[in-house]
Amino acid sequence: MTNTISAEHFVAPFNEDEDVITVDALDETAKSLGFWGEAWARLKRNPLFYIPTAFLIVLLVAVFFPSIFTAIDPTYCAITDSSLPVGAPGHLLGTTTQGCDVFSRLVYGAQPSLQIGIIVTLLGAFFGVIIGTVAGYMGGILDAILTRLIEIFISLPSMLSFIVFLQMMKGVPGVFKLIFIFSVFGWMSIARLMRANVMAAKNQEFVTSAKALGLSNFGRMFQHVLPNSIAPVIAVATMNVGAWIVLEASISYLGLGLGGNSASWGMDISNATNTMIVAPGMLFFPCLVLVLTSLTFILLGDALQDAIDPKARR
Amino acid sequence: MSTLKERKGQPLLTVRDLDVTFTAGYGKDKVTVHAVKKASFEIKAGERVAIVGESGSGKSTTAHALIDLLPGSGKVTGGSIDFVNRELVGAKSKLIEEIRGAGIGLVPQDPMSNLNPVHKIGKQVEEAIAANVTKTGEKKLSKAELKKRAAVALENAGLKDAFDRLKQYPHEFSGGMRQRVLIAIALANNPNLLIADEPTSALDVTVQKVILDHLDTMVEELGTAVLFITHDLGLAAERSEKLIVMYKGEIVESGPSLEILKNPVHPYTKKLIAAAPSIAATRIQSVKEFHHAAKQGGGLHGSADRRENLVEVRNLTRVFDIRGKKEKLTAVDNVTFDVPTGKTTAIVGESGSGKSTVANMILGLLGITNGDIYYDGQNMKEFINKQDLAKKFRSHVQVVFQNPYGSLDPMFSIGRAIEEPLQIHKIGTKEEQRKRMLELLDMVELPASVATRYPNELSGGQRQRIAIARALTLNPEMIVLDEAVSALDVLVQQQILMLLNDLQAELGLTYLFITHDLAVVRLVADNTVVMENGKIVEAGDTETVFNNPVQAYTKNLLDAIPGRNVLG
Amino acid sequence: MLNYVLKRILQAIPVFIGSTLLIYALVFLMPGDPVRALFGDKPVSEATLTIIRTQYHLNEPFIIQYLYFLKGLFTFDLGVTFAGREIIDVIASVFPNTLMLGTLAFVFEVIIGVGLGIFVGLKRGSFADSFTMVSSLVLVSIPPLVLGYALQFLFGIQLKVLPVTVGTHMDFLHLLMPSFVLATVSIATIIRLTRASISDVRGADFVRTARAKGISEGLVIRRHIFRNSMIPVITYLGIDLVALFSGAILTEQIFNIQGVGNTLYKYILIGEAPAVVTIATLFLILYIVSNIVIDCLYAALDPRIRYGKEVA
Repeated sequence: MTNTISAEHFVAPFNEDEDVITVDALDETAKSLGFWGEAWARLKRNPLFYIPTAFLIVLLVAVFFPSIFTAIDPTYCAITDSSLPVGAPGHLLGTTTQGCDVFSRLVYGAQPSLQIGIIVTLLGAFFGVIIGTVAGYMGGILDAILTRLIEIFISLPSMLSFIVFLQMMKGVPGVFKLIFIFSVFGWMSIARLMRANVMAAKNQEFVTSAKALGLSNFGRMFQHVLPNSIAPVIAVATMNVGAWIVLEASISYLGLGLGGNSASWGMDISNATNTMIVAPGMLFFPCLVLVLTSLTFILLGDALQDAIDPKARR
Repeated sequence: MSTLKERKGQPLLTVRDLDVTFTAGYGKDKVTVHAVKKASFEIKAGERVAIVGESGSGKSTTAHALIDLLPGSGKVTGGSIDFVNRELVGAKSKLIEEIRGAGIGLVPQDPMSNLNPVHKIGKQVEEAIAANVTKTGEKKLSKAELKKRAAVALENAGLKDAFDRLKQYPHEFSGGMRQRVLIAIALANNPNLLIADEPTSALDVTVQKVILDHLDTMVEELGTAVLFITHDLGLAAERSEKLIVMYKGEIVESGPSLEILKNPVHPYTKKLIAAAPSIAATRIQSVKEFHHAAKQGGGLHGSADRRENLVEVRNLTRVFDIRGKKEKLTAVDNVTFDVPTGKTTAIVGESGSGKSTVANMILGLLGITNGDIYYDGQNMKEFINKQDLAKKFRSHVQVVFQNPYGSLDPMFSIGRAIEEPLQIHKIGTKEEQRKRMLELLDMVELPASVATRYPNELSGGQRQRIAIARALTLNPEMIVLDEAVSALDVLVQQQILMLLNDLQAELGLTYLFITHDLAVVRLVADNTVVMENGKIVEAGDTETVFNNPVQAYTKNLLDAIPGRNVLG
Repeated sequence: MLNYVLKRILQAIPVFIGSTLLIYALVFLMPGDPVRALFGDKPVSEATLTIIRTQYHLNEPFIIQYLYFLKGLFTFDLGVTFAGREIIDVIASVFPNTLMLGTLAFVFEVIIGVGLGIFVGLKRGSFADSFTMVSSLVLVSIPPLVLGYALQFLFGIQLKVLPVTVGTHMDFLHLLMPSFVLATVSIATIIRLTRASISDVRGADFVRTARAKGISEGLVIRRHIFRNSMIPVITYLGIDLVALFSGAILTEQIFNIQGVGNTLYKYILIGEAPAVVTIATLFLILYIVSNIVIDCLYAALDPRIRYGKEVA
């Protein structure tokens, strides 16, 4: 071997004393967060997380302590106080044609809306996750049956089904009827999402590796597959809350919702449409609250989605 | 275009002080990565040059910068690229488009993703020709002429029945055939320079050799200059006259291939050459000593003495049904071999050889169609369905997979991942499990602080160490290493191989090493089993198989190891 | 390809039976006696009622009724309403209105949804991109109920540039607002889907290879980015089109359009079970059939599926 260096041979300057190459060095100063820690850190940095959260807190206070906002009973309507304008004494946002306080009805209307939105979402997510996980993890004939079941429920026109169902249960009053009916049709999208996620997760090497270690079938499902599939469900479910609230309002608008004189944004919109030309304000406020509530959950869901999967955006 | 050969030796491409940066994030989170720093090199007409480096060295980025194909936020932030007296840095997109194809051709890395799945092969070759004929002043071609030229290009690239091939879609082609199509596209217009970006690293070695040989012949005939981008030092030295070694975005050494190989100056180059498996020649030896006491006592039934062969495979066959088809696939066909206790046995083969299927059957993860596997003298069929024995077996035999990104649950902290086997088998208190976990981290040479971290915060090599630590948790007899080092860079790979070797010496472990990489086999295996199409072609001790192969297939495989004969 | 189509049809059969059975059960479990209700307050003999009930098979067990219904459906005998009107005539009179509304809404979806999606997909990370993404979220959070009245108030009452409701005037100007309201439900989804699809394909290896061939940027976009990224968008649009043609109860109600949705709603309220079930089933069939067609279209657009290979 010669030790000569030809003219073409270039060598970058280096320091012989330093060990320039440390193979695969570990940065011990780096912070460690884990999946949920990182998601939370990203969420905290997103300004579009704080705005909906603030509004959601206001809504939740209105649900649990409506009397903080107003002392007026939303179902007390004096015909003598009919159609008062915004800013009338004692009536911050005026009154309806029946003489009910608009502001009080908005505050008390939050309760059924959020109850329905949140409970339906939780029930839908619960059954959706179970059905989707079983279908995706077990596969085979069980998957084929559950997939057809999902398709059957998806193929039904949803609004039509709701109306028929509501008509069928006409005699049953209240919030729980709506929660029941919405929940019957509220699990398919989550089930589909979950099924796809589980199918992707169950073939990952870390699941096979757990099998090779002797972990049981159910152990693998609960400890490895489920935790790795469930994150996207949280974002979708959050967005669903808003969708159910809007649906409740639409159903109430069609006259099939809560009924009676109970405070409901949808009913208020429905009542105000008749007098839209003379009193647009009465239509404006319940619409505004409905939009803001819907936007809250959509923005929150979007922020969660970004936090869980930052790659999806960029 | 006949002038290409005449120009041989004249400067073609001159790169001076090239800087490339990538940016990520916005505002406060904005991070700038300097991917290529002040790179300078020159390629003469007809010359073959290779840029060698590990992942993240900036080798591919440099190549893509030449024809303005940097991905995402990548930007050339300084320097100059002179291609036949035309400056390409900051050039108008019109000029770049003119140079691409006709001036500089590109053979990309992954044949599976580089052809558009919705267009026919013919269309994809024809558009490359159609776009470039007018650049050289030729007249526009008619449809029939285009088709004819496309067929000729495919034929030149070594595809038979080219006219029929034009009508097919990419998914009807194998990886090797697709790579030929991509070579046909790149060379269809007689470019002055061909950039070959890891052109064959996704292919089996024998296919790789055939394709590279063919490429060599073609560029020789045409007089095309070639810039190889590769992580494989052996391949680089074998296929090019000049080497450029890149490390962390900088060129650390460049010059004539043989001279660099024989006489490296920069410490990084020295390390790289020392670690290159294709060039190294013998098994790694360990200085560690065997501590018998560390072993868990006895086999499945508690007999204390160790058998000569831990695993005996007899007439093993596995048949798969193919979805929607009548005929069946025999993935493993009447295979018989032994895995001696305390030694490393390698199963080598190309994709589809059945090597991983054998491994999965030995692991008890896959059912057996025919034949027997004896573990520690016990027929697997007799215990794999008995819960307690099967569980005991699972603690005896562990597995480390190829993909360091997939084999650890991203939701589990490292500590929890290593403790999991103890929890599954309900061994020890929480305290004892933790103690064992820290002991194992130490064994794979990682600090205790790693325990609280998560897989995505570690490098591929570090994750693979964790996977090894996890496999060791239960004091197994045997570890199946399924392509366990294939995804790692050379230096990291060498480090992991040494670690595995030390652990084997210390703990008396038996390894079953599944790999496609013959060069690595030589470094670690005592015995080698060569498989092809589900059958064993040749088996024996590694030295014999490598030095005196009997079967033609084994010889072919050995010949295909890139760079094996560079140093004579 | 033929195998694929057959498989999809076989899979659709249980879905068809399940969903029609479900809707049939729901409708026939609605309370009240529609036959008696027909006569209002007029006195009517039990004998007359029995005759009518027999005519509609109302005395048979539920499952027999369902089979009679299927038989009618497959012999193209859609039957009559309790009020005596041919159901086919009802459909013929209201479906064209829904068709017009749906088509116009579809045009909005394609122009705004796909158009903006392509635009921001090619300019990912720009200000226009962020702006579109946020405004699409705002748009999707405005319920059709609110948007409908907001537009009515603004353009109909305040500015007086557009008619407030539709009624019998089925023309472009009258349908402008309702079709936009109907379209907004899906526009945000379409923008996002298109954008994601475009930018996925834009980063694909084969696009880089196409550029490396030296073909012009315009051709790269048209032939490689476009062609590939439109496959999922077309699939989504196809399914959405069927949904638009199945009638929009809310929108038709707000703008007083005599379409399928409005008619169904009216029939449900008065308990016209045969008409509700028949019309709903027809749209179920339309939905299921077009799903199969769209899957086959997908297969035709993507040769990997056409030849029976799984796509990752």
